[in-house]
Parts: sequence; structure tokens; C-alpha cells
Amino acid sequence: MLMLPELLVVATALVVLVIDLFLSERTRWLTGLITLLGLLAAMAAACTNTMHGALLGGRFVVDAVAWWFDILLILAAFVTVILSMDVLNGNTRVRMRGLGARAEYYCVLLFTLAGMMFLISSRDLITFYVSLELATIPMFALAAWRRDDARSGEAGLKYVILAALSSSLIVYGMALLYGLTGQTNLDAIGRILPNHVGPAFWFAVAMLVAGAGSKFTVVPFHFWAADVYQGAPTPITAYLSVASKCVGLAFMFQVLFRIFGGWLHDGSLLVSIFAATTMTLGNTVAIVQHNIKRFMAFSAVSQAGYFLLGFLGPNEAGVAAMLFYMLVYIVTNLGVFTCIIWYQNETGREEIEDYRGLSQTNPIMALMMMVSLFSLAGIPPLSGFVGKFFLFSIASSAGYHWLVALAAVNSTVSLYYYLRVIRQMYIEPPDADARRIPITKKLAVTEAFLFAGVVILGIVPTLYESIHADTATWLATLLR
Amino acid sequence: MIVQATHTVLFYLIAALALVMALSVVFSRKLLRAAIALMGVLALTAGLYILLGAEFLAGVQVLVYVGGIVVLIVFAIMLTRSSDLLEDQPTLPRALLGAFVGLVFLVMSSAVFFSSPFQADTSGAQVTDDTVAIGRSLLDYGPKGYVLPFEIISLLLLAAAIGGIVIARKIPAPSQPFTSGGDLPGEADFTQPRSQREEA
Repeated sequence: MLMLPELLVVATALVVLVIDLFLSERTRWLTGLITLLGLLAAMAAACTNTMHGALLGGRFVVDAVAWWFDILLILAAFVTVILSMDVLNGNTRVRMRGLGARAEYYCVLLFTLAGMMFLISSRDLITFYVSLELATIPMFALAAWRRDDARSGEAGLKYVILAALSSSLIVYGMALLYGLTGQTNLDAIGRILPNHVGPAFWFAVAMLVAGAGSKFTVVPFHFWAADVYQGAPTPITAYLSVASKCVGLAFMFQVLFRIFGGWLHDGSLLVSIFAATTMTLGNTVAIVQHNIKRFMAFSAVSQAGYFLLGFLGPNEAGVAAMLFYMLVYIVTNLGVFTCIIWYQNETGREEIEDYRGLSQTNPIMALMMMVSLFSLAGIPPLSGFVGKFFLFSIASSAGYHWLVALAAVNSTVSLYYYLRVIRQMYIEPPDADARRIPITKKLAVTEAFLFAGVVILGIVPTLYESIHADTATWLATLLR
Repeated sequence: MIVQATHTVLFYLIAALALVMALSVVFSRKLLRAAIALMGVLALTAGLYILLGAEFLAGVQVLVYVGGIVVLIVFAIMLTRSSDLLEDQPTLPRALLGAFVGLVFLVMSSAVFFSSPFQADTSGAQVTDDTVAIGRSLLDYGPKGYVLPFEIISLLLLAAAIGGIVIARKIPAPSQPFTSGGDLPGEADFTQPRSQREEA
């Protein structure tokens, strides 16, 4: 059944919410386990479903790209739930205050996941917009979940205001599209739209690009990211940096390929300018950050710039390259965030210089963090290098050699600031009273799996090949 | 002819009034006054819907926005005693920048509206205001139905309500455990961080 993964996610959310009523405080950790089992079931349902097709009269369509996005999103949510469990169960050395209501947390998280999965499968403006809202509005609450932390509240409020602004731009753009074409079906709009290029068309492009850019943290629409990433509870920061980024990419796919697909070839220059500013500004600002979560926010902004290279052209390989790099990015970024969350659980610290001497207090975690950071910077043979290589080759084959050169320079700059963290871990001595920092089994297993992913995805190209084979004809059917 | 003229006159009357109300929402320095003016804007918008022949939409507009949301806002203002709270005066550069951006947006969007040929309804179907038909299409799972967005919105409402309640709940006292807000027995184990529990 086509919609089974989405239905399982929603059902798990409702089950968690209801079952929490009958649990005592001692057994309430079970809600996390139920969430994990539900996500596993959803993942199994998605993996075993090889059919593509439409439901509900064409309002819900599963195609190759939607299928891959579903897999990526469930993976991101699954790891996030594992990362949240220690914090929410109070199984930490340093207590994170004001973070409670476990069942509600998992439930809201699952609802955002369902919204994201509906978004990439939606085929008409209304479903598209409401699933975008389902993916973002509950996220405000998650960002503000730490109730006695002023920063968390600030993060929630800033997120509400800026995301409301970008949503209003998106709705405005959608209204213009409907006015121009008289259609609500995205494919139909994409077919008719090239006949209506005029002022209103450009206005709609501006509105939708600004809205999509804000969801995907493209400079200059990235302003919400740093404060929200810093203030949100750390597992939610991890979730924002991967799942929210993934849904931003899905949104860009729907807008740029499906709606503006016919125009995208002429718009490549615009995309390349956005890509250049995004990666350059993200990298430059990341250099001067001291808080590791803010640092990761700007790192995520610069990564968004690399993703944009895949829209140049456009050609089929770009779709596969972006999907593959999203997989690599999810695995690598969650690998870094596992370390950040573990370190915060055990020491309560989140400044970059607090990581000094980690190579002696816990050598294995320091090594895994280092490898993940190297992968983000794109050092061969790690997966980050392979992912970036595919994206750069897309830009190169589209003729944007200056952009490839700029991206390569940016990768080098990013290596500098990732090395800042590594320098703290490996060169600076630990505090005099530092002891070995233990790790819980959950986090150790998660980090080991993510680490294996970071290494294996770079060496074994099977996954890229299967993504490429699955999505080879996707773009052609849109742009015919 | 007369009906046509009345329509036109009414339209411009309502639109102008709504604009005046909207401006007073923005420029009023008292929150309660702004909220009442907002109520006026929304009610007048309902009037515009009636002129367009969408009585049902007008009814929903009055019920939901005028009757529900604005009343909630007014309640919030009165309960928090912020009715005469003055907001900060923006600095001159900020005010100028805001005015500039707003003006550019206004000029651009009106230029777009006057220069673009917007499509009339291409299906040629008569706009009906049949509540039975609206209700049916909301729950219809065929190609003309909207059951999927309808269900997604209901999930959204549920998620937003849960999130809102969690954030708005009273913060437990510092001595209380954090996992459930401390209102349940059996939480004693969580009152100490793990390190102390291990030693104990």
C-alpha cells in the first residue's frame, strides 16, 4: 500500500500519545521505544514498497524521488529519537532542565515527520501548503520545548515570526500561480506556466524562491537558523539540521523542478548566484563562532550552498547527486551531533573550546567526531568528498566553472574551521581534573553505525548507483 | 443595472473602510484598540465575501475570525493587563527602512496586478455556495475531493495544540523533577542527576 509509511508514522504518534496516559513515570521511557518501533515499521513498509503510483485521485503520488525522500526522512527521525532518549529519560550526568513531556515530544516529532513525507508526495497547491505547515508549525513548539530556558523560548519565538513571514510569501506566490494558470495541480501549473511569463510570473518566482530559500537556509534568507539552532534543545537542533534541511530540499524539488521546471534552465544563473553567496557567507561566518551549535548552524548554511549546485543545468544526474549528498549529509551531520549531544549530556558544555583534550578523555568519540567533521569538509575517501564530487561535477557539466572553483575554495575554508574543533580535541591539553568521560550504550551504538555510514558511503558506490538508476528518468518526465 | 451599481458602490465602500481599519490596526499604539480594529477588518472582509456570492465563506469568516480569534486576542490582552502597554518607538532609520520596503512591495504588487492577465476560472463551472457540496468535496477521496489536506490540517491542529499546551504549562518548581512536571508519584529517582544516584 502506497501510503503505509505515512499512516504508520501518524498511527505511532497517536499510539504514543494515548499509551502515555496509562504509563507510570517509571515506565514512561517505553514511549521512546514505541516511537522507535513505529519508525522501524514505517521504514520497513517504505523499503518493501516497490510500487509507484497515485492515490486519492492523484493528490498523493509516490514516485522514485518521493520514495527516497521518505527513506531519508524516516532515517533522520529515527536517529533523532535515539539521540533524544537519554536526555528525556534523565539518563545524563548533567541534567538539562525544563525538558520534559516525553510522549508529547515524540508525538509532535512524528507529526512533523508525517508532514514532511506528505509534502514530497503532494501534487496540488493545497496539500502542498498544508503539509509544509504540518512540517514546520509543530517545530516551533519543539524549538521552545525547554520551558525554563530563555534561549529556547527566544528560539521558538524567532522561528515562529520568520517562518510565518516565509509562509506568507509562499502563499502569496501560490495565489499568483493560481491566478495565472487557474490550476491547483502542480504538474498542470508547470505545463501551463511557460506560456505566462510576465510580471506576475516573476513576482511569483521571487515569492516562492524567497520562501523556499528560507526553509532551506539559503543566504540571504537564513537569518532564523543561528538563533534557533542555538536555543533549541540539542536533539531538536540535530533534527532541524537534517530533517528540516531535507524537507527544504524536497520543497525546492517541488518548486524548482515541478513548478518552474520549464524555466529552470534560464534561471541557472540566479541559482548559481544563490549557491555562491550561501556557501561563502555560511563559511565566513562559521569561522568566528564559539558556540558549537551556532557553528553547526552556519556549517549547515554553507552545506545548503553546495546542494544548490545540483539544480544547475538541470540534468538527471543532479537529482541523484542531491539525493545522495542528502543521505551523506544526514549520516555525517548526525554523527557530529551525536558527539555534541553526548558531550552535553555528560559535561553540560557546548562551547567549542570546552572540547579541549577530548582525545584523552574519550579517544574513540574524538576520533569519530574528527572523521565526521572531515567528511563534512569533504576530505577523500570519506563520503562527504564523494557527495561533493558529484555535485561539483554537475555544476561543471553545466558550464559553471567559476562556481566550482569558488566551491573548492570554500571547501578549503571550511576545512579550516572544522579543524578548529579538531585542534581543541587533539592539541589542547585536557583540564587538570579531567577524567575519562563515559558514554551510554545507546549513543555508542548509534555513533558506531553513523561512523560506519560515513566511511562506507564514501568507498562503496552501490547506493549512489541505485539512487541514480531509480531517478534517472524522473526529471525527463517532468520536463517533457 | 441598479443591482450592479449598488454592488460597485458597496464594494468600494467596504474596501475603503477595511483599509482604514487595517491602517488603524498598524498605527494604533494601544493593543486593545488595534484588536478591535482588526475585528472590523475581518468583519468587512466577510462583507466582501458576501458581495462575491460566497455566503458560506462569509459565515465561516465571522464565526472563526471575528467570533473566535479576535475574541481570544482580546481575552489575552485583558488577562495580561497589557491593554495600555505602549510598544517601543522604532528608531528613525528602522521606520524609514520599513516604510521603504512596504512602499516598494505595494508599488510592485499593484504594478503586477494591473499589468498581468489573470485567468478567469477555466473550468467554466458556476461558483456555487452549496454547503452540502462543500462538505462533500472536503471528505471526498476522488480526484475532486480534498480529504487529504483536510486530514493533514486536523493533524496539524492536534500537533499545534499538544505543543502549545506543553510550552504553556506551568513550570515546575526547581526542587521538582523535570520529566513530567513533577505531578506524578514515583519520580523521586529523577530528582538527582545520575552521578549522585550512582554514588548513593
